Amino acid sequence: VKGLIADANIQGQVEYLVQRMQAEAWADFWQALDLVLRRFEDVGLSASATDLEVWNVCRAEHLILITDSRNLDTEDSLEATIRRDNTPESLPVFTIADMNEFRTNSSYVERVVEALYGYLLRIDQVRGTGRLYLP
Amino acid sequence: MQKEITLIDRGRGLQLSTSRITVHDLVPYLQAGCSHDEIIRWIPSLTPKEIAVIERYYRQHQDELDEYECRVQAYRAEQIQLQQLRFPEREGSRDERLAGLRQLLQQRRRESNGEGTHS
Repeated sequence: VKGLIADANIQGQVEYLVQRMQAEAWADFWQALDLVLRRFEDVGLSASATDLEVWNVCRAEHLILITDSRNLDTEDSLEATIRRDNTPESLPVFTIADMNEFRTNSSYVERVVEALYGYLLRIDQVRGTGRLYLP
Repeated sequence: MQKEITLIDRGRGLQLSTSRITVHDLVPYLQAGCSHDEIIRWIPSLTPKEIAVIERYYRQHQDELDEYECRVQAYRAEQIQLQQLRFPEREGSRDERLAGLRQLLQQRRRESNGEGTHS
């Protein structure tokens, strides 16, 4: 894993999440995992990139995508892309389960941090799982 | 001349012609009565004009979009339940859970340093 990247619809939340991941209680985890937060422009993605383009860049750059897909399984082309192109080696895509809680409840954010580190520390065990919800 | 902002369908629900942001992305914010400033705080790539385009569409199709959001929430809850069967949440107090993560971290450091996981 070379880093994290926020989908366009969740940039502020992921910036805040990363601040919490780098805070004193968790800083050694961030450093040990050698994480960085990348932005769309860092990896050549435009603001209107398609799901397939985002997926392909994340795969090529070994980036963990954090997203907030609000589409149902049958209609979401990211879901379709995951189903079609996911392999046992693919990194999972993480989705914050409850964005309202995330925006308003600090202890919920802490649970998201804990869950994400839990998955990142055993990333090889969750490769190929597709989408994983946090917490 | 500025490009007109419209809603287009690229197979993932209606989205802005100028960005990946979909109408569905903003529904929870609009349901919660968030101001444009608050929406921009969380999605800084959006402009007030883009939010206004989505908000106008939301007000015109609110029942349908609110119903869709309920289905999204139900689907998500179902998926989370399935995930918890496969990857149960860690048990114990916060300190105990943190200690478990620190053990994983130490193990990872040992492996990175070329030390085996067994003697």
